[in-house]
Amino acid sequence: MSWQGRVLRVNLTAGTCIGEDLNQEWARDYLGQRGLATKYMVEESDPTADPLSPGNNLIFATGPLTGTPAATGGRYSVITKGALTGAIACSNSGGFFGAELKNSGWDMVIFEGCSAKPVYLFIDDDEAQLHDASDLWGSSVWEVEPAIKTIHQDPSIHIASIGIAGEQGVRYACVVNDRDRAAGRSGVGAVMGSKKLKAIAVRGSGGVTAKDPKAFMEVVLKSNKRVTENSMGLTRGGTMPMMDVTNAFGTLPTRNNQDIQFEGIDSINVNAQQAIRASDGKPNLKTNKACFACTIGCARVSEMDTNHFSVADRGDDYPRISGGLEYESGYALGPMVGVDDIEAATYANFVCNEQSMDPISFGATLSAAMELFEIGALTEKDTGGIKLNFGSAEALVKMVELTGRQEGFGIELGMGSKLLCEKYGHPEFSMTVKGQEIPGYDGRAMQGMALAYATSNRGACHLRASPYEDDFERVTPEGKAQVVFDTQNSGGVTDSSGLCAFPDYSYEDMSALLTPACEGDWSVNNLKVVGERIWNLEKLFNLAAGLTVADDTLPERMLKEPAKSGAGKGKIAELDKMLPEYYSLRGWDKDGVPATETLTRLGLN
Amino acid sequence: MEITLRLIAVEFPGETAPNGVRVLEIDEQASLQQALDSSGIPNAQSYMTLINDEAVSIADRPARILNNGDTITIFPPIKGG
Repeated sequence: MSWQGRVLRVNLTAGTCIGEDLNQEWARDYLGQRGLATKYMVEESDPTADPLSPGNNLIFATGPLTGTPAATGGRYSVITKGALTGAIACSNSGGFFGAELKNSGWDMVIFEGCSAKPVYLFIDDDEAQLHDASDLWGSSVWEVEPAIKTIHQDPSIHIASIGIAGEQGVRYACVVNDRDRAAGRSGVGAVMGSKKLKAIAVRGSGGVTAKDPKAFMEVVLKSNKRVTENSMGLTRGGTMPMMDVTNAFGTLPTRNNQDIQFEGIDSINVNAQQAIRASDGKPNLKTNKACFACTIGCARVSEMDTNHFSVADRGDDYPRISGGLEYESGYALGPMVGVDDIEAATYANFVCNEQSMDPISFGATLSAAMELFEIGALTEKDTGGIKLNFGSAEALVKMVELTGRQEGFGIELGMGSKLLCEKYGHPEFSMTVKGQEIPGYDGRAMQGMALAYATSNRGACHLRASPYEDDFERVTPEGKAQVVFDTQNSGGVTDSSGLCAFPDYSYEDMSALLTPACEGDWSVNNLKVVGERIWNLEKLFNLAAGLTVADDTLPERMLKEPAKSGAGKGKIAELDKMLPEYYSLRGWDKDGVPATETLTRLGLN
Repeated sequence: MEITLRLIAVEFPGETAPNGVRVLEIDEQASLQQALDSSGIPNAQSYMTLINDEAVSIADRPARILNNGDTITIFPPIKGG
């Protein structure tokens, strides 16, 4: 139990929705969510298929602890071949959609093929049906959610959907649920759009049953208390305080990583978010909020200044209160583009949620375009007369609107940084790994993060490993491979469980929760094997998709241009020293291919 | 001698906003560990530290002797999101 034991298979080409039993053998080897859905991808989806073709499956997956009262047990993931990367994509989201899906009786939904016309899937517990979405095509996330709730006369339905960016194939389009929670990275929303799938709406009235409910609840009560007590900083400030840390340390990507400290920090950090505005006497930050079963509440809710130029003419219908800046969106829509206008960055974040775009990738792509513009590789003729200078809040606002609607130069920005920079003759300006834009940490002062980016199976990612504490202690490459190896594996377990990364669950914590929740061996030793198995399975998918050792690298700037300031001043990312040690720890050859003995040990051959 | 203590994403006792800066008087030849202990910051040793932009590990704090005019930056060991 804890899993529901059921998978909903939706063939969009045929228009069928058929339930089947979950493969329990796979569940005990891969746990759920990220790991288990990757197993289904490897077994059922052609890794060489174009990500935007019908041959690429798209899976919405929960974990065994999704929908339970374990703190943060509301997570789900979208797994597919990424439109942005051509690699395995697994994008994780909170909110309430994941728990609703699990409570409807399904562990995961597998989409195959492509619909001939726009559709949305409505799941009403064990009944599932595709509905015509022609009238919803062309609408934003913020329009489609209330529309579907009205159609089904149920305001408590939870919905995951795409806006125009997803429909139109913006390479970094995401899937948004509950208005502002997102499976944000790697372009999973573009894959959804390519299938003409506008939304998934769920009404789930059941529950989740633990194997030993009494023992499970005893563990949950203790665990939830610990999570609450250890997470007060996240409750109070969200993730935004990280911006001051990365700025002080000298690892805050600024102006497309030309700098790693931002002179405008005080106008866009957590203090600025909480400061009372002179214009209306209110702070940008209105409140925090929590996802399903979360005792932390790290999510920010912002109220925009109605006088700000971005929203002043939007009319009374425009909702000026929505999901606010968090560290990653804050970095990308602030320092990365040189903008210190927190209202403009907040608005850009709103538009990203509204039209389903990953703010990290959008901001970093705009940042690359700004560097192209400043050297003259792009001109106002290309941009429709808009000056794309670093620091221009007007350019940020205009470009996020154009990209969200896929108009004008926004179409170019929708390609992502890698393709954009290649098109305009400067691939070295693209701050990407495997085509995915880097998050808010420069790899020169954070050597472990540099290795984590280079080896991440889904492209540059701050959540595929956790080298933070070690990186903040020492700016040297020694020992980073072990830290990255260990935390990549443990992260794979967390991401497969239904829980969030923020409580920092240890293997011992996970074992204590999973053992009374569901059948199987969830000892610490076995969980370590499961985590390593998941990582290697993802690697095998990528190798089959055509990725090579050449893809385990970093942006040229991090490898060649010494950091100008901060703790890493004068340093480059020393990937050449870390990567061989990392491959050795993984049991891979010099080309990053798992050895036969490694695959045998992990049961992967 | 005098050092400057800069707090990032954490508050001085009695203050409501993070990112404060104070000048502290400490003994000559004081180590980073001693300076943190005498700083008045609760659980000061649990934070990450920089001396003049150089990262200093927890293990190196007892042997790291401060100089007049040094700036110590401390910040919590937070993780990304």
